[in-house]
Order: sequence, then C-alpha cells, then structure tokens
Amino acid sequence: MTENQSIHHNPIALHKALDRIWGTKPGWGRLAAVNHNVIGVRFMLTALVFFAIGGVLAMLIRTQLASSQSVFMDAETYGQVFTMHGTIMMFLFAIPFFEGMAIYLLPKLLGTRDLAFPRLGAYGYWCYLFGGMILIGALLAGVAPNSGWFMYTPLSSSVYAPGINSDVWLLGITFVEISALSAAVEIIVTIMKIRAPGMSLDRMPIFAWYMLVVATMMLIGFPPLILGSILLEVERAFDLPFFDPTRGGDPLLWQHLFWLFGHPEVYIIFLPAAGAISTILPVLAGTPLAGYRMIVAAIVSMAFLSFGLWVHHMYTVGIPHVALSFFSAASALVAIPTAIQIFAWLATLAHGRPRFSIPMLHIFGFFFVFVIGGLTGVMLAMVPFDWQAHDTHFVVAHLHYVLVGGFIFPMLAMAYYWVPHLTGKQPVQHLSHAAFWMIFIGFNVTFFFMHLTGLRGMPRRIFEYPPEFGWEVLNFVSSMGSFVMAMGFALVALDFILLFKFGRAFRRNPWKAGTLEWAMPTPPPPYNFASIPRIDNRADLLDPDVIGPHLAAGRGYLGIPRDDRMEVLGVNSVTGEPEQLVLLPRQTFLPFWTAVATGSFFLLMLFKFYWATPVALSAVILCFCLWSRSGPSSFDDDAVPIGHGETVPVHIRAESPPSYLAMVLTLVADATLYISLLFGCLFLWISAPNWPPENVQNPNLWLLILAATTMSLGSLGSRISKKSAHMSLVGNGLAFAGYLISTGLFISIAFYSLAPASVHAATASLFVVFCYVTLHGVVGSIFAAHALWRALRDHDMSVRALDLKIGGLWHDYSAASGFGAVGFCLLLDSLVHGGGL
Amino acid sequence: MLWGSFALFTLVLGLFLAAVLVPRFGRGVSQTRWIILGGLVLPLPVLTGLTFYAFAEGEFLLKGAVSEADEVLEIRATGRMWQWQFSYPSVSGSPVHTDLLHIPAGRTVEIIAESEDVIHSFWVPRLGGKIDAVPGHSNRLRIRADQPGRYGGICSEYCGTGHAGMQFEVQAHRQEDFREVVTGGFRHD
Amino acid sequence: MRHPLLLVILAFVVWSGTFLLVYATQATGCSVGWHNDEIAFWRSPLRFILIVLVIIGLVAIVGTLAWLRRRNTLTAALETSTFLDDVKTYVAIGAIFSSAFCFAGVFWLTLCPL
Ligand code: HEM
Ligand SMILES: [Cu+2]
Ligand SMILES: [Cu+2]
Repeated sequence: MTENQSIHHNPIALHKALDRIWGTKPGWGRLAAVNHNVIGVRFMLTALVFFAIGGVLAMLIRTQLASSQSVFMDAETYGQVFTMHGTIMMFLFAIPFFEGMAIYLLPKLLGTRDLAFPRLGAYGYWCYLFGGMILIGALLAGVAPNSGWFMYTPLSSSVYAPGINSDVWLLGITFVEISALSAAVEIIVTIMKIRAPGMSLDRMPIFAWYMLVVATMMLIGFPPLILGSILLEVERAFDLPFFDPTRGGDPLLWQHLFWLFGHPEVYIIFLPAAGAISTILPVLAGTPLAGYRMIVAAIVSMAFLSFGLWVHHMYTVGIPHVALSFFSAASALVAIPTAIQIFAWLATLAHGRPRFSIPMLHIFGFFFVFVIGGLTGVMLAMVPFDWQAHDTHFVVAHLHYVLVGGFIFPMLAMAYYWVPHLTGKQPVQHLSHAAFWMIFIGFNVTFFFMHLTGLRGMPRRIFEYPPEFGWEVLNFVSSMGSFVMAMGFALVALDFILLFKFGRAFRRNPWKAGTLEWAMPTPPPPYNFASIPRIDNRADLLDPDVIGPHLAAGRGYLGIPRDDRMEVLGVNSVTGEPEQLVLLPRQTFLPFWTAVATGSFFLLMLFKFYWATPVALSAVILCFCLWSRSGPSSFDDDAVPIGHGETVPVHIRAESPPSYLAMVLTLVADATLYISLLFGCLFLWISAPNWPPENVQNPNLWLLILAATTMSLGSLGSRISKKSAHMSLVGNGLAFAGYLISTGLFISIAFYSLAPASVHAATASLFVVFCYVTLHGVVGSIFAAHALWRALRDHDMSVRALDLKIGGLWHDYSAASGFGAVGFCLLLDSLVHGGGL
Repeated sequence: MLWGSFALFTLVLGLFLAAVLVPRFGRGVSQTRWIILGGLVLPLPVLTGLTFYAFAEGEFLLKGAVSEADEVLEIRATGRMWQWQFSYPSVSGSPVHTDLLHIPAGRTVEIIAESEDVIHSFWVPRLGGKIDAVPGHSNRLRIRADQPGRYGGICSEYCGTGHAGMQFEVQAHRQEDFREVVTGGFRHD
Repeated sequence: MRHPLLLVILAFVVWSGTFLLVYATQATGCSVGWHNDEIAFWRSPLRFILIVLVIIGLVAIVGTLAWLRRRNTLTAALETSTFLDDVKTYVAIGAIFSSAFCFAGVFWLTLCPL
C-alpha cells in the first residue's frame, strides 16, 4: 500500500515502477525482448539494411545496363542479381518495414501500451531475420535464386533449376512470410480489441483503419503464395507434379497462385504509406483530414478490388478476352478509390494553411511520382496496350514509379516526421533539402527515360543488348540518374546520423499534431503511457499537450502498477468501452528459441535432410506448447478495478478475449489456403494438358467417410467437454481418440490407397489434401491432449474455459476440413470419370 | 492516351502546388465537393471511355484485322532454350526454320506458340502484341505485316541465361514469293 | 457473430462471389465446350449462362444494399452508428458500380481461346 501511495500522481515514481516492469533487460536479455518499441525498431532497422543491400544490387544492374555489351556481369550473375533485387525489395524491405512501423506506431496512436501479442511480434521478427539471412547467405555464396522475383516455373523447377537456388527462395520466403502472417493477426486483434477506452470505430485514428484493411488483406493474400511455395517445393523435393505439364500439372497454376498474392501485395505496400500520408498531411496543413468516411469506404473497396485483378499480370498467357476484360475493368476501377484519396488530401490542403517543411517536400515527391505511376498503371491495365508493353522496361519504369512514389517518398516523409518521436531529437543540419532533390531528380531521370526504352522494345531482364537497337543512350541516361539517386539516399542516411548525434531535444509535440503518440515522453518509454487515456473525440483531433501530463501523473486508467504485471485494457471492438483487463506475457526467450527451431526445420529442408525434419517440427510444437504455460492464472476475481471506479474481468474470464479472435483469424488464413488448394486442383482439371489421368485409383469411399467421421469426434468432444469438469475429461478423451484413429486413417489412405502421388497431378492433389487434413488432426490431437492434461491437474473450469473455446474452434474447423476432403475426392472423381459434365 | 495522361498529371500536380502555395486557393469549394469532383466525376468518364475503347481494340487485334472470309495462315512457333523454330503446317514440303520466320506481307498470320521446355514469349514489336509459349499449351496470336521487309523479334519472357540472346528475324515477302522462300526454292538477296 | 464491420464488407463479398463464379464458369465452359454451338441470337449457351450469372449477381448486390439500408446498426452511440451506416452505404454503392463495370464484357467479347 505504501508503495502505491508514493506512486500516486507522482510521474517520476510511476515511471520508475513501470519501466522496471516493461523495460527490456540488458545484455542477453535483449534476445528476450517482446516490447513493441524494441521489436518495431528492430524490424525497421533490419529492413533498412536489406534496402541498402537491394540498392547496391540495383546499382550493379544499372552499371551493367549502362552500355550495350557490358562485360561487368555474365548472364547467370545478372539473373541472380535482378532476382535478388526484386525479392529483397519486396519481401525483405517493403513489407517488413511497414510492419515495423505499424508495430511501433499502432499502440501509441491507439492510446495503449503494447500490442495484443508481444511474443508473437518477437517470434515474427526472428523468423524474418533468420529467413532473410538464409537469402543473403545464398547471395554471398553465389547460389541465390535466379528465376526472377516471381519464380515462374518450369524455369524454377528441378528440371531447369537443379541447384539449391530455387529452394532458397521457396523456403526462405515462406519462412519470412510467417512474420507477415503473425503480424497480420497481431495488428488486426490489436486494432479491434486493444484501444483506449472511448475510442469507438468512428473515432479511430485513420492510420488504424488503413492498417486494419492492410492486415486483413495480408491474412487473405499471403496464404495463396505460401501454398504455391509449398506445392513447388514439394514438386522439387518429392516429385509431385503440380506444375509439370507432362503429368497433368500446369505452369499457369503457379502464376495464378503467385499473382493472387502478388497483386494485392502492391496495395499491401501502398496502403500503409497512404495511411502515413493521411496522418501527416492534415497536421502539416493544420486542419483535420477531409472525407474521413469516404476514405474508409475507399480503402475497403480498394482492398476487395485489388483481389480482382491479379490476371492483369497474365494478359499474354492465352486467357480468353472475355476473362481478361473482368480483370482489366477491375484494374481500371481501382483508380477510383485512389483518386478519392488523392482528392481528399488535396481538399485537406486547400482548406488548411499548409506549412512548408521537409515531410511536405517528400509528400510533393509522392504526388508527383505516384500520379505518373498511377497513370501508366491505367495504361497497362488496358489489354491491347499491355500486349505491347508487357515484360518490357516500360513495366519496370511503371512499377518503380508506383513503388518508389507510393512507398519510398511517403516513408521518407514519415521518417522526417516521426524520427524526432523515436529519438527525442530534432534535426539541426540541413542536408535534407539537397538529399530530397537528388533523390527526386535522380529518380525521374532514371525511370522516366526507362518508359521510352521499353516502348522502343527493350524487354526486361536482359543483361546485354545489341548496340544497333538504339537503346544505349537511354540506358546510359538511366544509369547516370540512378547514381545521383543513390547519392541522394546516402545523404539521407548521413542526415539522420547527424540528427542522432547532434539533434537537439524538444518539448512535447513539435508538429502540433492531434494524435496520441505525441502525448508521451520522447523517446517513448517501453510502456508508452503511464496511464491509459479515455478518448472523447476523433483520435486525430486531441490535444497531446493537455493529455500528456495528465497521463504521466497516472490520472488515466491503470495508473497504478500491480504485482509486476503488464496490464492493458481490452475494449469492445465497436464502442470502445472497456471490457477486460488484458495481462500481457513478460519478457521471454521462448520466441527466440521457437524461431530457432522453426529455422532449423527450414534449413533441414533446404539441405535435403528430410528424414530429420520431424525432429525439428516436434521441437517447434514443443516450444509452442511452452508458450501457453506462462499464461496468467491468478486473478480469480471477475471484477478487477482499473481506475475511475470502473471494474472489468481479467481477459481469461472475459466474453471475447483477444486470443479467441486471433484463433478465428488464424483459421481464416488457414481456410484461405485450403480453398486455394482445392480450387487450384480443380483448375488443373480445367486447364492442364494430359487430363484425365489414365489409371486413377480411388481411395475406398467408406474408409474415407469413416476417417472424416472419426475426425469430427474432436468437434463433438469439445462440445461435451464444456459442460463440466468431469465431462471435460470425457470429451477431450473422446476427441483425442477420434484424432488418433482419423489421422491414422487419412495418412494410410494418402500413402497406400492412392496411386503413387508422383504419377499424375490428380493423385498428387488428393495426396496433398489428405496430408493437409492429417496435419490438422495432429494439431487437434495436441489441443485435446493439452486440455486433458489440464483437466487432470486443475479442476476449476472457469480458468480453462478460454482454452476450451479456442480448442473448440480448431476442432470444428478440422472436422469441416475432413468432410471437405471427402467432398473434394468425390467431385474430382466424378469430373474425371464423367469425362466432363 | 499519352496526352490525356499528361493533362491529368498537370491537373493534379497543379492543384497540389496551388493548394500548398497559393493562400486560400480552393477554399470556396467544400471538401466533399473536392472529393466528389476529383475522385468520381473526373476519373469515371475517362476510365469508362478508355476501358470500353480498349475492349473494342482488343477484339480487333485478336481477330488480326481479318474479315470472316479471309483465310489466315497458320505458323507454328516453338520456343526452346534458346531459339525459335518455325514450321508451316499448311505449306507442304517446307523445312523447319530456326530463328528466321518468313511470312507473306499483306496477309494475316496466326502464330501458334508452343514450348518444349520453359516459358518463352513470342514478340515482334513492330507487328503486334506478344504471346507466351507455355509448355503444355498452344496459344495463338495473329500478326500482320503490311509491307515486305525485315522485322526484329525477341523473346520477352525470362527463360534463363540465354534469354537476352533469344532473338529472331521476321522476313515479310511478297505473296508471290512466299511459298518458294519457305520451301527453300527461292534465294533471297 | 453479426459484427458491424462484416456488414460493411458484405456488398463487396457478394461482388467477390460473383467474380469467382463468373470466372470459374467461363473457364469451365470453355474447357467442356459450351461455347461451340449457337442456341439463339447467334449466341452460345455459355454466353447465356454468363449473362444470367452476371445479372443475378447484380440483383444480389442491389438487394444487399436495400437490406443493409433497412437494418440500422445497433450500437451504443448515435455517432458510431451513423458512421457505420454511411461507410457501408458508400461501400455498397461502390460494389454495385463495380459489378456493372467489371462484367460488361460478357455481352460481346470473345469467350474462349481461338
Ligand atoms: C534504388 C533505386 C532502384 C533502382 C535504380 C532500381 C533498378 C531496377 C532495375 C533496372 C530493374 C530491372 C532489372 C531488369 O529487368 O533487368 C529493377 C527491377 C525491379 N525492382 Fe528495382 N530499383 C530500385 C529500387 C526498387 C525499389 C525501392 C523496389 C521495391 C520496393 C524495387 C523493386 C523491383 C522489382 C520488384 C523488380 C523486378 C525484378 C525482377 O524482374 O524479377 N526496386 N530495379
Ligand atoms: Cu498487379
Ligand atoms: Cu526468353
């Protein structure tokens, strides 16, 4: 009590107490960091290192292309260099960078102390780092991927790329994508559940809306890519012919899966940047953002439209015109929500008093470059134009106008705006102007002329060209421009180094912003807010100068630290009213070790020690089981005081805890993968040559139904187990037994009841579908076993209710996937034997 | 399309600069107005017109400028690492030509693009669009040279280390000479 | 389960469904040969099926908008509800327009590979 007394309304004491709880420990303790400030900055710094590597590769490309028959690189090296440039920029720089930015900023803008799942963020970071290191290692060893950043097969297949190169891409990128998926889940749950009280949906900062949309897109967009990578890797490793036309596969399946991810990806990269602009620009204009509602509607529409235009990368693969027209029209349409945002920003500027500043300069760069990129994008969306321009340097110019305009310039604006927040220092030197103009001019010189090179017929990805084609002058100009641009980036780096060294401190809120991230000390303490605010206005129209001191004195919610616990508030996702007290896990090495185990799996796959992979997988599962141990078990109370005389239950007893939503989202991603798999196999029936297969041997139908039925015992068992402590034993026992039988059945059907999977894509499809179901059964049995174990140890149902609910979701989904497999098997059978419809 | 884009670009950038630099510019127009005018009224007609024009143009190119009655000449183009082979199913006695495609001028030609190994893409920039040669598929593309002459062709889908060198030449001949050239009876130059 | 955000996206979910259905039907139709004969107005069965699907899709989305307009979002504060109602109406109008725009090609463009 005395401790509490001294902390009461004493900012310094409160800071000390909170810092001790939330701070990351020094030394090796850094590997145990889970705090979003640390993880977010790590993500961004690591991404910048990759940006530098990708930039160096870009300079190599430009050096090579500066003259027609350059002997600087040979074809093989050039192949690795442009593939790695694209891959690094897209997967290791752009996505992780904005993930880091979101991880760093979101809790601050939302008025809370951390993300919903700090350990997941840390795990994601390690996966990203290790995966990236695999790719860079391959680059240094000269065995980097070399089939282009979209890895078209058969060029990337084991026949035409027998080396390790393609495996590096498939496994390394999949490893990195774990971090994208975990970030997606974490971001959605945080935005939905972990906000400041009073922040109803209509009061969310606009950046949160952007990130909510982006994270949802990631949740749906990444599974097709992961599926494609798995299938291609399985083809390379075990000879299952998904993409081999001689055995009923189809290279076009890869293209569909890749671009189903690949196009939304472009918007996934652009939208966070647009979110940053929507946050910064109104502050610099000194007026609230115009058209908040229309912007929200626009980005939601954009998210959907962006999934309906993947085929615009495939206009030349022989798809009939009517089908192209759907995608072409959708590609044109996506310009509308973009235009709405652009004009909302213009309206904001027109109605405000814009202040000129460095971020504003970069916003100018964004407008200039991005508008050009958008216009060439509309041109390329038109089928006849694309038949000419596809795969030429025109496309290279377009994609850089969009990516640099829509990502790099906004990120620079953002950096100049928020680096003072991150470091607590403001710039003194003024390299910033020169740096901007060098990047801006260098960029336009490089890429504007590249449009012309492309229109004159220069295909992309060629390492030399005959001098008589008349491409040399343009290429030389582009190369010169790119060196100017590179120097501009070097100046930016120097500018920031000077800021870190000599910048001067400032008092609160240098930009006079109305968002919550400025209502905290800078650089931010690990807990962000000493106490949590209540919001009574839209979260970009607040007054940090008033709120800041108020919160620092502990006058908000949760102003008194208790029992060394990391506490945040969970709110109703619509109204923003407090619903639960969320206890976050403390610093731990588990994410690190789990990522090491995951990495060992990928390395074993890479070096073809397939027999040892089960060991690594078990290690991963074991690590994850340990995660659940450190969950909070105290706080038996249903009503914990949170300040202001209000009480809420602790999250494990709450109606809709964050982890429940996380499980729902995980299953959404999982289901997307499964549906893509089923559709992909049906696509083969439609499109691939050498169908129907000659001697398909169908699994015994009754056996299959038996397997699916026993699998659904899991679902039944989980329903029974919720009734009482006693029934919990029975139900989970039933579930466990059901899983044992059904996984055994499915796996033996996959291995013994089918023709060998390598014979034809049809059997390979069934094989993979059964494996998928088996995997779900195995995980389900772990859930059931875990619940059994807890039921034996601990008879208080109420603390286990959450585990059971989450397990229940899994059991229901597994049951559905089992029956889905049966249905798929029947459908494929009738299609194949019916000889069509 | 080029001039239209230029006009739109100047408009948006002009508005941006005016809004930033000219005090009170655009205040008279309400914010919603701004968004509706710029976000819907401006782009919708442009996009609709462009899209439908492109549909019509696409149909036209697909048909390769032939009326129903005209006969198109089919030529098989097989890509393999790293050369193109052209054969003429409808011209009896014609050998397979490597990296040299003969076509009659003034007549629409249908290329049937196939591949023996990885994906390639058949493209003669001055004669029309491109079509991918995907293993397991035969894709068709109609092209037409109005004048006899030589045209450069190039593979435009990355197909490995030989991709940059995977070029070929198209020679368009007068209709009278075409058959003889293809069967090898006619000595050019 | 009826989260208001699900209502916001509902219209575009219908659009996505229509998109997948139309595209899948077109591809299937070409592969099994529904485009080969003419049944009326010099049009093939495949074209008729596609046109019907597109019209059903459009009607479904317009219906969705009407249904959404009749339900008001039940939430605590009035501001929040009007916000959600506005957004969901805008999104639904966008989805209706997108349906009309994206699928117009089914009426006359080439259905299947030459
Ligand atoms: C820093 C300045 C940059 C320069 C000078 C540059 C230059 C180039 C060039 C010349 C190519 C074409 C290579 C070829 O087709 O032969 C290329 C490809 C590419 N670039 Fe960049 N780039 C830069 C920055 C970026 C950024 C920031 C991104 C993404 C965020 C990016 C993404 C890509 C992608 C995806 C490709 C396609 C790679 C492929 O064909 O597989 N680039 N770049
Ligand atoms: Cu795209
Ligand atoms: Cu090639």
